[in-house]
Amino acid sequence: VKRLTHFLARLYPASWRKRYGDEFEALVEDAKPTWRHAVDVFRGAIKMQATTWTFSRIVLASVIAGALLSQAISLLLPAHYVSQILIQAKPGDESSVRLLNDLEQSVLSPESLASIIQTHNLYPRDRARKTLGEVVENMRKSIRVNPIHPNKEVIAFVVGFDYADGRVAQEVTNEIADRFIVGNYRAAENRARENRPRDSHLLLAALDPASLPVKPVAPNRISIAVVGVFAGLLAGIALSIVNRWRRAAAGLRAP
Amino acid sequence: MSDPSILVLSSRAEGAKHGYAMMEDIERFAGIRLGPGTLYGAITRLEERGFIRGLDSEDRRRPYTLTAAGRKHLEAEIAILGEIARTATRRLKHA
Repeated sequence: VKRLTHFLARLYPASWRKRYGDEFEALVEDAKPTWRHAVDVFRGAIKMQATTWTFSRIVLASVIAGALLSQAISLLLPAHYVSQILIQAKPGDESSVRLLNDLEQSVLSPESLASIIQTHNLYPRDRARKTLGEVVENMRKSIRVNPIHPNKEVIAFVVGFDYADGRVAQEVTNEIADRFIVGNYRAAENRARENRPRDSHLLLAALDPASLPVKPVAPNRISIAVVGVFAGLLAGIALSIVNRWRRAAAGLRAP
Repeated sequence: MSDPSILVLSSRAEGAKHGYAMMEDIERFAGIRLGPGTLYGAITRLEERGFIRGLDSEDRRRPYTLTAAGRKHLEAEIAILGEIARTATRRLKHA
């Protein structure tokens, strides 16, 4: 305990140790240090550090603490990867738009998504805690279907899926694209059996396989670090003001 | 009466003392054993406010003495504490 207490005494600010260090060490020796004394010396050192730090030192320390804390938080946040696939539909008329809307509803229906979840064993943690309906709803929020540059000749749209594992995200995106294409064939077969008009024929093709995401889209560590630094800056300024106010209230000089 | 600054000033009112002597004295008259960190926190604040002054010493155990400002401050604090004690005693009698 004696050695620990002497070590803890070194945590006091250098300027304080220069003035009181020798007599403080003598007191620690005379008082036969206990664990309670060691805690008391540690607490005293922290308080003395806090009261002797200048404005710039408090702000700098807070900014560094904010940056480190934000990076620690960003490491704890789960990574997200987005895989995308471009699908082309012909022709680009209103009839195709209607057929595509029907296909989208079918592919993203609760039954279809539940089947994908089970096939790829998605969201194992969520499935242990939530109902399948809730998990399906979450999955739907992770799927994006965005049309790009529609014209009379062709409709192109991007299907994207956001997941914690890039390779799985790619597999599922390919599966969703397959379901669009296979669903379109089946719908065309049904229309042929029912002798529906030929203008309702839709050609659908994936232009490339789904992309394999290498970098996560989230968490954005740079944005989180900027927020952490800014929060640290504000906290540092607030702490300095409180420190000055407390010292002024106690009739002490500003550090 | 557990404010370390008042305890330290009260101990020095008797004469100059170094840290350990003060720690023992405070335990004797107040029944409180101040830790080294708490004691020197109070000494630092009191010296900075000009209420005590360190004397020259041949060894590492520097004695501190009360200044005129420290005596005035201690008298003011004791007056407040005395008034609180008198009021509390009076109220307890009528309770």
